[in-house]
Amino acid sequence: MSAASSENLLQLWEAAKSSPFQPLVAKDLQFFVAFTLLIAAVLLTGVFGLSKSTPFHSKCNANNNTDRSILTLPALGVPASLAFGFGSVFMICAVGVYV
Amino acid sequence: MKYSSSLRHCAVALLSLSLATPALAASNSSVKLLSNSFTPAPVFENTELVRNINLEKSYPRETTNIVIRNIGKEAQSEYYFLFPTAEIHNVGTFEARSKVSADTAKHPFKVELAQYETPSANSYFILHLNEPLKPSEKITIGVSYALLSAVHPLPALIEQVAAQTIVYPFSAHLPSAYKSQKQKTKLKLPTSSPAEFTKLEEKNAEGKKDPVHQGSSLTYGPYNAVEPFSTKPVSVRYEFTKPLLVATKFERDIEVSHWGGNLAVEERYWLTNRGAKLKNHFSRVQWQMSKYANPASVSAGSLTLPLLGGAENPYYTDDIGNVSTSNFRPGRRESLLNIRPRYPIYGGWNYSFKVGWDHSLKGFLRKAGGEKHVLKVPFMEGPRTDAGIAYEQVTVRVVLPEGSENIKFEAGVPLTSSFIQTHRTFMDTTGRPTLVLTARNAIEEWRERPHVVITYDYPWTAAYRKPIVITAAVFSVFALTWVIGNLDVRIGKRKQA
Repeated sequence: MSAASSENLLQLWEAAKSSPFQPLVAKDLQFFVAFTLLIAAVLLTGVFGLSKSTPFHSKCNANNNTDRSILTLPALGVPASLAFGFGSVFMICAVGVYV
Repeated sequence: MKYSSSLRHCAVALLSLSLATPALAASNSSVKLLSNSFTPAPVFENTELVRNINLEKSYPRETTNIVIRNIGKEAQSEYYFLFPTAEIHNVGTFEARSKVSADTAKHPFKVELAQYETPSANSYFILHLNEPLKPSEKITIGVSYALLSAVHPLPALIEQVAAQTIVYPFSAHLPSAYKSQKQKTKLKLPTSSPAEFTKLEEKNAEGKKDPVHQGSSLTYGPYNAVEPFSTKPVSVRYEFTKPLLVATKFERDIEVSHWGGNLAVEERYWLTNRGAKLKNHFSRVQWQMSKYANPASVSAGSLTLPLLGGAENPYYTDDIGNVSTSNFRPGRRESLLNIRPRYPIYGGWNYSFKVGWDHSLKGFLRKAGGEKHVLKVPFMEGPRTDAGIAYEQVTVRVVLPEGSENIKFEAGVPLTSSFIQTHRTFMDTTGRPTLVLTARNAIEEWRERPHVVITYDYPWTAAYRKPIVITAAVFSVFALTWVIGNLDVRIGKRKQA
């Protein structure tokens, strides 16, 4: 595949002077945001894990209150996954591997 | 007949490949093959020709201003600039333009390289004038280029602490396909007392001795009525106790990260010093002693890279690992990275290393509406030295974010090729489009050249691909956990509540 060479791109650069690129999270804040998101992901994962009482444990459970609601997936799994997804991207950037 | 035709095609293809090497003016270069009987028609006359050769750097830089007149009967738009074939592969940054201050003159002429089908001593750069020159009209054109590997040390071997002298052979008559009514060649030397230079027996057109030596300049000519294809070989030898540094290979990677808001730059050098070699073995004691006196030396002991302001996180490594002899002075306008090789690079010695640093992306990337982004980065940075560094093979790779599309670029330097490839690195799924730009025979002055401007579209779906891929992977683990957790794998009947 060959690259397309074009002219007047310099004019386009000058025209875009008022709209410099702004990253979603500034470089200085990347570690803080990443750490917060990853902590949140760990906590949510913990809540998700503890809230689910599986049939394996049901014999030990006196009340036998099993929470098998599928609602735990969107309520805890989705935010935990999102926090881990974004947190890991920011963390890998924060440690110097700019992906 | 068939075989001869095939051979002819092969020869033409090989010749085309060999012709593709000189660096011509940006993106408008091409190659033309000439029949063996071809001679440029005598439709022009060089009314006045002044050639300036600057020898202050390790590579001669020539600028020739020619007043050309159309002596034909029809308008002409192609001027054949003669060039010796032996030197054509050493030409860097060949550029020709009109010296008239009209708007059309601002653009360099389209330059076409022409060579004979069979090996010949002469080749041509065909200069396509911006506007055809009418009969009897004149125009002043300026031709500039640098010549790499054009000087050599004499003597070839010297002591460790000794002055180096180098020789530059050239022709006092600028070889031209057209008759020159008046021409002269002026050399700017790095010293006011050249070791030796060719003294011609004949006087110049003004009746003075030839050449005229005045201060650091040496002038051959003027000469009147110089016939086409006329040459007058001369040479000058002068002191140049500086390294003749050449980067036989130079690679530069520029990596754009939207998520990190970062522009990472890495440069890899394969340096060699083409200066005079050491007569005896290297003496570390002598080198250590001379270090404090800091005399002029043929060796390269330190290099300074002036980086753009805001550079941070520099590193300097070679084949062994981190090189600790470096110093970094960050600044808002300019950051200075001073590096010292592990050993002084004497004549004939090589050293390869890499340096890298980061920038905030904000100063290099702008949004041009919608998904379009504009990136502007320097084509080359590299060391700034007194003697200059010549770069034989240059490869610049601009690694764009994964998912970028509709890539266009504008480079202010003459390129030999440009293409897009895929670069795969951390957290990539499909890989990152990488614009690869190659050039030959670059010189240190390219630092001052216009930057490379690249535009690309970056859809939001591509932008969020990385976190979404990780999110999906983690969520699948959650879902799997939920499913497995709800499986009833007990032996026996289910208890009734």
